[in-house]
Amino acid sequence: MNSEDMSPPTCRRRLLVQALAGVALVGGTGLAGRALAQTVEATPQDVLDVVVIGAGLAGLTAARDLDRAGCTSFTVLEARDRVGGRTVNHQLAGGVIAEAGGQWAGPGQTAIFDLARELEVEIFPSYYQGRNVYLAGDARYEEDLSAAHGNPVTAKLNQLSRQVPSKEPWTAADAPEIDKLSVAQWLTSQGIDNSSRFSFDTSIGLTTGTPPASLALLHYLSLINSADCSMEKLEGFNGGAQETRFVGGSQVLSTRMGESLGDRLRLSSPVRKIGNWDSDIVEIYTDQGLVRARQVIVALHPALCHQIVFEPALPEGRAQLQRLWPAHAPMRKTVHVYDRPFWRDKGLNGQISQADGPLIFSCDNSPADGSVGILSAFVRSAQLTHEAERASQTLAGIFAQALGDEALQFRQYHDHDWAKVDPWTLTCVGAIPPGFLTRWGRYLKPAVGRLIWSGTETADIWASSMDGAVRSGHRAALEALQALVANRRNA
Amino acid sequence: MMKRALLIGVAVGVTGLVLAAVIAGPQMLAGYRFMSALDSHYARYDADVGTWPQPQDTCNACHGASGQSQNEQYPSLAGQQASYLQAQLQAFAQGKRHSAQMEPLAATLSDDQIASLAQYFARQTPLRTDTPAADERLSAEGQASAAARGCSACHGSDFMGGATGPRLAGQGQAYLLSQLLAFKQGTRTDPSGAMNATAGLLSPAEAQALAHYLAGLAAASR
Repeated sequence: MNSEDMSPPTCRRRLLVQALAGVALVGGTGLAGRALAQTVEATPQDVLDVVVIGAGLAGLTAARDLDRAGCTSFTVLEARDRVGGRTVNHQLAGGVIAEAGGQWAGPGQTAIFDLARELEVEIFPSYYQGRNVYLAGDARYEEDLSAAHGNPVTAKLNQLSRQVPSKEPWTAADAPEIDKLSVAQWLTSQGIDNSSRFSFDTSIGLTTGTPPASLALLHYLSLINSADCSMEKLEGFNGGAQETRFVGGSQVLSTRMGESLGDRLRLSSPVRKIGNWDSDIVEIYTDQGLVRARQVIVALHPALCHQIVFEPALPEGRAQLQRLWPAHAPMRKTVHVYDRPFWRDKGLNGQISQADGPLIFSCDNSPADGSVGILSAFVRSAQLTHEAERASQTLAGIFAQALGDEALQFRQYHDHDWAKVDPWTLTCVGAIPPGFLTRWGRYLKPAVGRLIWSGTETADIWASSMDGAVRSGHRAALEALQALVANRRNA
Repeated sequence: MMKRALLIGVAVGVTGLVLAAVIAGPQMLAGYRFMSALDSHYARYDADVGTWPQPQDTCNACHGASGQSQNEQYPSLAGQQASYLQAQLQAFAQGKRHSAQMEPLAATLSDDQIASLAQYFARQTPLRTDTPAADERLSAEGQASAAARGCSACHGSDFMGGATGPRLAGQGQAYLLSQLLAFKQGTRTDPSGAMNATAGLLSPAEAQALAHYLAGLAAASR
């Protein structure tokens, strides 16, 4: 073995330094120093083929695909000390969990069901049998939704959604016209009554994180389009996207994928800056040091992308998309644990909607065997104190009005306000306002330099859902592999 | 009216009231009462805010009904000076004040909408945001600090806001503390520099005492 074979990294490093010094002479001494400092360690061993930013469903799916394709030179960087992104399990007493984030799947969401099968994660049906309860002031009304039929307004939305492709809603033939309207403006033009207004306010608020008043009709139609052009499938439990849950909680999918990555997953490594994204070797600056890669999959919400410094600055369109993408829908979700799901005995399903108080919507989130009763609730963050004791009692009082006094006897309480827990989610799903997609949407998906964008927002189908995240991860991995091949061919 | 109670709403998904074809007896009465309560709720809202839809719908989740937060982590807008609210919305929209949540949201608003929102929240009745657990010693320290730092010069003798400073009385303790620290660290800047200079002098303990004192003050009506 000759000396060259014994120390190729050193040889290559020396060559690189010489080459760069030559360039630097032309560029001036200041630049020379910087160029040398940045590249002196850039041996082939130091440069990964791919860095994935974000260990949510999208990033982990992408990493898993890279691994399965035989690409071993990659690392997943995650800001938090956990995986799962917008899915997280509360661990309750007795090994029971309740999800604080995304948790449901339903018909047509084949990507996440396939993933669950591959990871051997079981599924079970959400509990929704029985009557819903509606509250307004002191008034209480209950109704069984199983007899629900369509109606002219939803039928019209479903019909309109056929013209708005979920993949690129801004390309719809009449996108400019549709995108002038909020969903609420369109609803008023349909002459809806107050019960419909309440229903749309609640449903859309839960699905998109923002009220119909500030939600773009174009965006909402694209979500309906994803759901087989059926608002019932998008919003419903029975036969809809809330029909199915994952045994052990939705975060288990990410936990399993993370475990299989071993030390290629780096937690507590928030990315602060991405440099040279327009060059062959991208520099990713984290709190745990610098990482270099040939391709980067950014599996983050666009508003989180905006928190990263890019050098050089991103092209104007992409930069504006990230700056203006709404992030005001963080969601706050609580858990009350009971000895049993007592409401079921009364023919109630635990679903409560309140028109004028802190509760947006509660549902039965008990484990598959119903061994304990769990009520999860989405609450209006500022209409409920942050202090746990008083917050839990206030909500229990509302549950008691709806379900009976047994609701006052809860054993545990948990509260997860996504806006306040940490800075690594910022917001839930897409609260897109009118005019946004037609102006900025086209910058959402195309790669920029060596940066490939992933995350549920970029999904062609089921954007905003866990299924969309998985789809976007698959697509990003393919893009990264293709880019690596193309770069080598061109080298 | 009876027919309305029978035909209550439309099927709209997760939470949707459905078209119940046959409702009888007590259930019909409950439906009627519920619809009346719902009608009153929306009538009050529309009289207060304006013909639906209005941008205020979007503010409520984080700032409370009528801009009155009941969560100490989220600021109340009710009874705040219109000029202050307007300046803050414009600062968010221009990226001069930082909030991942507020910057994109404010950027969607027109100047007219910003002015109208500011005026709307300024005329709402302010209440105390949340009740901090009583700590008289801490309150006394905060009161002494407020006097020593001359806070009332800008924020008014009752801390309900003055010519140049916003309402502080009855804001949430956690929110007040977060803003004092943001001014101290420079992550929030005051165009006049006054708040950065003042907050820069505060120890964490003094900032805590000030926030506690101000959060415990009743919001005086104007």
